[in-house]
Amino acid sequence: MVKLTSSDNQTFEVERKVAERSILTKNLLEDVGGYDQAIPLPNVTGPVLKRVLEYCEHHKDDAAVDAEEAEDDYSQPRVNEEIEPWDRDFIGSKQEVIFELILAANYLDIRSLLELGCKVIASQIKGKTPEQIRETFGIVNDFTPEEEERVKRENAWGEDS
Amino acid sequence: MPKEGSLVKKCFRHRHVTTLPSPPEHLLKEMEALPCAEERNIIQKATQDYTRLGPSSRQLLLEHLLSVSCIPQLSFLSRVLPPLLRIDIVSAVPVEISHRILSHLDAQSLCRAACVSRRWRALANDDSLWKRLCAQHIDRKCRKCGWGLPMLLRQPVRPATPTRDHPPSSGKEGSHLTSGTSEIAITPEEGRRKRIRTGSTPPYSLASCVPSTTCSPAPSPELPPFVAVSEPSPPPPPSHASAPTRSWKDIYAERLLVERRWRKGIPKVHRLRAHIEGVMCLQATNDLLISGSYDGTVRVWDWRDRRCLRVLRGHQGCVRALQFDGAKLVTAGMDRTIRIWDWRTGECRRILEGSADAVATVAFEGQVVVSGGADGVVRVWDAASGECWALRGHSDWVNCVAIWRGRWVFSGSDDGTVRMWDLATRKLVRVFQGHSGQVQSLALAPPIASETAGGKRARGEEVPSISVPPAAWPRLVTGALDNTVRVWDVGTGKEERTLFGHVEGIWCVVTDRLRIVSGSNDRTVKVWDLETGACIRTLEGHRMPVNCVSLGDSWVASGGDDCEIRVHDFSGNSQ
Repeated sequence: MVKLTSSDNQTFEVERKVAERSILTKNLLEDVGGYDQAIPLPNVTGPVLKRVLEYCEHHKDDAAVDAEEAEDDYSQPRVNEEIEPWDRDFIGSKQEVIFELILAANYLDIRSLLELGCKVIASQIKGKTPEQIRETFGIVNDFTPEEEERVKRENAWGEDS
Repeated sequence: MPKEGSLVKKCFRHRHVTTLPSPPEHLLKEMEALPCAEERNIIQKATQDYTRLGPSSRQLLLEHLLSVSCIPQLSFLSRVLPPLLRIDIVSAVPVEISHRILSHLDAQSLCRAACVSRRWRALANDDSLWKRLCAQHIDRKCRKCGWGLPMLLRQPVRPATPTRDHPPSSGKEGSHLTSGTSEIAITPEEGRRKRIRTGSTPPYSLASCVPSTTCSPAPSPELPPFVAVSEPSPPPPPSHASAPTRSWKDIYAERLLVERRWRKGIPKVHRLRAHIEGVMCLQATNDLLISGSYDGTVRVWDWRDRRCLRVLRGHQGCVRALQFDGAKLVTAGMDRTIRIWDWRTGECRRILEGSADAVATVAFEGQVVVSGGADGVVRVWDAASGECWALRGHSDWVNCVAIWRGRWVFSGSDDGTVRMWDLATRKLVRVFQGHSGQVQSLALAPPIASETAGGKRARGEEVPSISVPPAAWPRLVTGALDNTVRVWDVGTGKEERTLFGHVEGIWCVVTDRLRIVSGSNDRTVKVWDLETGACIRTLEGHRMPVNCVSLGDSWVASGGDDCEIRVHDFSGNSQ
């Protein structure tokens, strides 16, 4: 078992293979050979870490992540564009939750979770007009009218297909 | 008690402020308007106290407040909260993650994303995102969306910024078969109006012989330099105003527009007239076109200018087939000769004699020249020495030949079969049977990279010299007088697909990685999707049968019995 401590000093105890879904903790564990004390994770809060560990628990038996292997073959479309039902339920659609999870996954280096978050955000962008995208993400249109006109012209070719 | 500053720093909403923000103006106004000063003080005090609390205490306090609130207040909260919870995640996360998110988008969504805000524009225009889209679509069919985009070889694909990998075009140019020549000859002395045609898929397009930059190889003075005549490139992005490179987005956009024109645009038609009898064979590049005719001449054209640059005379009778690369031109004639020319100067360098009868087809790769003709024999020549040996098996005219990787030869015949030969062993490898009419033309479609290694990238594509994995074989496309175009799996010899649509015999077919083009006795040229076999469009205009076609990324050239050459140009250039 491994202990992990969040930024707000909450400590969680999990199986080693659960903790090793995170490349960060995996490397820490490997370097030291094992931790008697809790591993401090100062960039994640307790509630977020709890959710992340829930994800890791569910995926603890997945194939091990090949460090750079998943990295990009540019000529291939993104593999596995589909999202598993469990993952979809887990991540939900609340932006603040997804946001926290993405940042945590990035910090803890859990590639599949990071990818999951990115896919879900991408799916919230797809098929929307620029105005709908602003609405969805609470973005202020900071183009001047002239700029906006130009940007629209530059990107007009993307429409009509 | 935690310090204010540290609390503020960790919060996404207030990450950019160093001190607590003052309340928005409308709040201040409403406070002013409160009739009772005491209430005003309570509110201010409560707010201050609240901000002094840590996260868990804040939550506790809020729960207390909620428990004493009535429905109207709760309703108010549920109304105002959702907008406050929206986060511009794409801008808020580190830029690598932003790109990761955007890399899941298609071109249309990326274009829309670029219109959202300045920050989004910068992120969505990122070169690496568009490079990925280019790599997925250019010169191949994307496995995800099914679209493919043309290569446009003449405009070397180049990243706008020096990136780690090379552009998709590099390393593939050598194997890119851009166009084919096919020809038909009419031999009046044959009682029936017998046409022989040759289809050859030249291993080099002119373009691939030209340095893949925009400079021209020392051209002979009277010929147009092989510069990318094609498109006046749109202005590069502002940040690279002086750089000669273009953004990948720019490249993607350009190709998408060409692809759309193929499907539904109105092409510009260039008509070249000068031959005084039927045009039997032609091959073109993005600016140059060479044609052979029943009138015995070979003509070199600048097709965009519709100018005939040179006439090559020598054949005594119909010129039935031709193929050229950056240096030489090989022509086959009914006069039983094969001639090798320097098309830049017009000089005939060598005449290959020894065919027993009219030569109907010719193809070359390097020093190897393969021909076929009326005697039913496939002849293999050494262009340097003039030596020749024969492959026998066809029982009637050999109308078309093609060479694959310098080693395998395909030949189509009036006997209705296509035969595949191995030059190394000089043996027949395979017979393709199925056509119920004379096979007039054949072409080879190079394997698509993503197909060749079961989803993985095909690195071995360049070197299948001895043992060819089945998936690395080209696809064989044939056209015959039974009115059908057929697509064959070379690895198995099985017919994959039959394309119906022409109402008379087919004299010529060519193909590239995306399309098949066929010309028919029914006076039409049809463009087919290689993958699906669907007829994308039918080009009309010839007043007589179409004898030969040539295919580029943005154009189709065809020659007919009406003595005319027509080039349908989908590039959208107005020059």
